Amino acid sequence: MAIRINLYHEIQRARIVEQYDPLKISLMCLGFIGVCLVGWYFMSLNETNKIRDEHSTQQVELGRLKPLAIAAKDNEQKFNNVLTLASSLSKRIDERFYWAPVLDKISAVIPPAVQITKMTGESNFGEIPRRVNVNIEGVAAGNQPRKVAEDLRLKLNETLGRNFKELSAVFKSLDDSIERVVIDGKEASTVLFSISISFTIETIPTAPAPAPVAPAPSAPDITAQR
Amino acid sequence: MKLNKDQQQKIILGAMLLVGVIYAANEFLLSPLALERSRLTEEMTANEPKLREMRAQIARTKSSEEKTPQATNLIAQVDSMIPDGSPVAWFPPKVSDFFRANGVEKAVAKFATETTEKELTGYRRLTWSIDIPSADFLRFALTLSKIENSEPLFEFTGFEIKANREQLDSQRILLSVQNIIKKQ
Repeated sequence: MAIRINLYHEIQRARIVEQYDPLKISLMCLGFIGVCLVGWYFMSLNETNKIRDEHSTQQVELGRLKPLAIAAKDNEQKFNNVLTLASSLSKRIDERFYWAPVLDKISAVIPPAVQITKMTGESNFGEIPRRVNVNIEGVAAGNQPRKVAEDLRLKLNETLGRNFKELSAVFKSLDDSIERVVIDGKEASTVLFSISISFTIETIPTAPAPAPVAPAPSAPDITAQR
Repeated sequence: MKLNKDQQQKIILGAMLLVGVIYAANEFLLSPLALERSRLTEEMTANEPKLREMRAQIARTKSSEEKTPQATNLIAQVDSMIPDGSPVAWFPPKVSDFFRANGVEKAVAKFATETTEKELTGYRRLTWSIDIPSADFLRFALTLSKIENSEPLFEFTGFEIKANREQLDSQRILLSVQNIIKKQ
């Protein structure tokens, strides 16, 4: 192996020292970090500009909507007053209670042997569910007048129960009468009765009330015999 | 590699410069931007509910406004059903005429009470009693049915039907009716 003598070792060493100069390396690192920082700055600036744009758009929208919202709030009360009034009127009209169908159903079940002397009715106005009370007083005649009166009560219960909720039809009184009547030429005994009917109406019918078609309660056609 | 004194000084100088540059970039460039972003974002977040409320308010009012013509029409219809003038002057003849037109000769209406209703602003509710001294039940019931159907502002709240012992085919009838009228 041949021996080689490097006569440039000092020059080469100086080159290496210059190449690995810490200040130079530091400045290069500094430059690289500086570029990164500038990049970061521009990214941040871009992001900030986007947010500024959004904010600006929002401010414009806010400025546009504010007077509209104030005007809308003022008008809303006015419109709501009209709507509430119309709704109340409509509700009042729709939820009226019709007596005609009730009278129709009651008069339809009155048999010929019964005569109604008095009938009263009342409904609790403005309340839902509406409670209706009807009181029927009359005279029932026949061989078994109590049975006639009881049949009437049961029929009322059945007929009205089909149309109304929570119906109750109960005797308030059922007394023998000293009066006797003549039905179809035959003498019959009588009882005086009073039936109290009450029921509830959940939803008030809005359909027109039909007119009663059945026999009406009438004054007792009693041929009194003492 | 062993660093000489000169190199060590250069490295320290470089590190100081690096720290200075990072500090300056953060303090004068990045930090103000971050603060501004944070302020704007907070402001936008705070404005968001206001905007939502404003949009909702406008939508609510628009919806109410769209329904208003129908409501105004209904109110006008109701108003057109109420005659002008004092109800004591027009209600009894109206009832009397209605019953007479349907075959019930005499019906006397008398004013009973007046109620102001909170729900019906601008309206009053009057209660009347109607006395029919003599009427055939069927005719009466038919008339009642007609009046209930033709007068939406009337509501009959009670009745009493009594047989006339003197006149077997007729009844004495008392009615309680409520009607809505406009406030004078």
